Amino acid sequence: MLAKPGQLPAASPMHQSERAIAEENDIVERAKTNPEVFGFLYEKYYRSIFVFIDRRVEDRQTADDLTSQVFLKAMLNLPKYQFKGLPFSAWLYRIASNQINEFYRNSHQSRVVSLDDTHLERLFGEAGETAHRDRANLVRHLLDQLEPAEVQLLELRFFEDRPFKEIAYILDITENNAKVKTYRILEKLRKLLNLNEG
Amino acid sequence: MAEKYRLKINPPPPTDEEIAARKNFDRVLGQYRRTAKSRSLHDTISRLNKSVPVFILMLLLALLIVYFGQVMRRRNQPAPKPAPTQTGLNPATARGAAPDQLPLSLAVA
Repeated sequence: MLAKPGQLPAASPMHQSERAIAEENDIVERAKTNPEVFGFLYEKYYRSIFVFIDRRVEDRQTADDLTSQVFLKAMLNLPKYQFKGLPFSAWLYRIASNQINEFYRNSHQSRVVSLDDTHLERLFGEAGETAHRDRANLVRHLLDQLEPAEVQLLELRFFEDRPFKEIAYILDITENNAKVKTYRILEKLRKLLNLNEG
Repeated sequence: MAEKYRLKINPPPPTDEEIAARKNFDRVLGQYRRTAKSRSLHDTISRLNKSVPVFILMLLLALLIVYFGQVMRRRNQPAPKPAPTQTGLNPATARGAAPDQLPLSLAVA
C-alpha cells in the first residue's frame, strides 16, 4: 500500500532500495494517466529539488520559480519517461539541471556555486590534501579553470555525494565519461595545490 | 568583465516553513492543465498545418489529371465529317455571294 506523502521517510531519495524504486515506478505509471497522482511525487521530492536549485541560484524566488517549472515539465513530459532502474528523482534532477542551464543561458548572470566546509573537506581529501589553509580561494582558482559542465559534475560528485551512475544520467553522459572527467578535475586541483606549495 | 562563478560559502539552508510556504501542487496542476490544453490545440493546428497543404496539392493534382484526361479524350475522338456539298459548285458562290465580293482570283476567272 502507498504511504501518504506526509508519512514518507525522510531518508535521501537518491539512496532507495530496489523495492522502493519499483513501487515508486508504479506510482509514476499511474500518474501518466491520472495527473493528480503526481501529487505524491511532488510532495516527496519538492524539498530536495528546491534545495538542489537553491544552491545554484542567487535568490529564493528564482529557486521557487525554477522548481515549479521543473515539476510542470516533469508532468508534461511524463508520458515520455522510461524507467531505467534509477529513482524517479534522478529524472527530476536531470530536468532541474537543464532548467538551471537554460536560466543562466538566458539571464547571462554568473553561475552560483554553493560550498560548505564539509564539501571542501571531502574535495581536498580526494585530492590527497588535508591541511591546506585557504581552501575557498583555491576552489575559486579551480573553478576559473572549469567549464560549467565540469562544475556541475564537481557539485554532484563532491558536494552532493552522488554515485557516478546517477551523475551520468543527470548530465546525459556515460558513466565512464563522468569518471574520466572527475579524475581530470582532481588532477587540476592537485596541480593547483602543487603550484601553491611551490 | 563579469566573474565566471559566484561562490557562496556556507549559505543558510531554507527552513521547513519557507519550503512549506512555497510548496503548492494545486498551482502546478492548474498550470499543467492549462498548458496541456493549449498544447493539444497547438498540436492539432500544427498537424493541420502539415496536412492541409498536402491535401490542397493532392486536390490540384487530381483536378489536373481529370482535365488532361478530358483533353486527351477529345483529341483522340475522330474528326466530324464535313457537311456534303454539291459537286462542281464553288462553295462561296453556292452560298449566294455576289461576284464583286468574291476573292480577286475567283472574280477574274
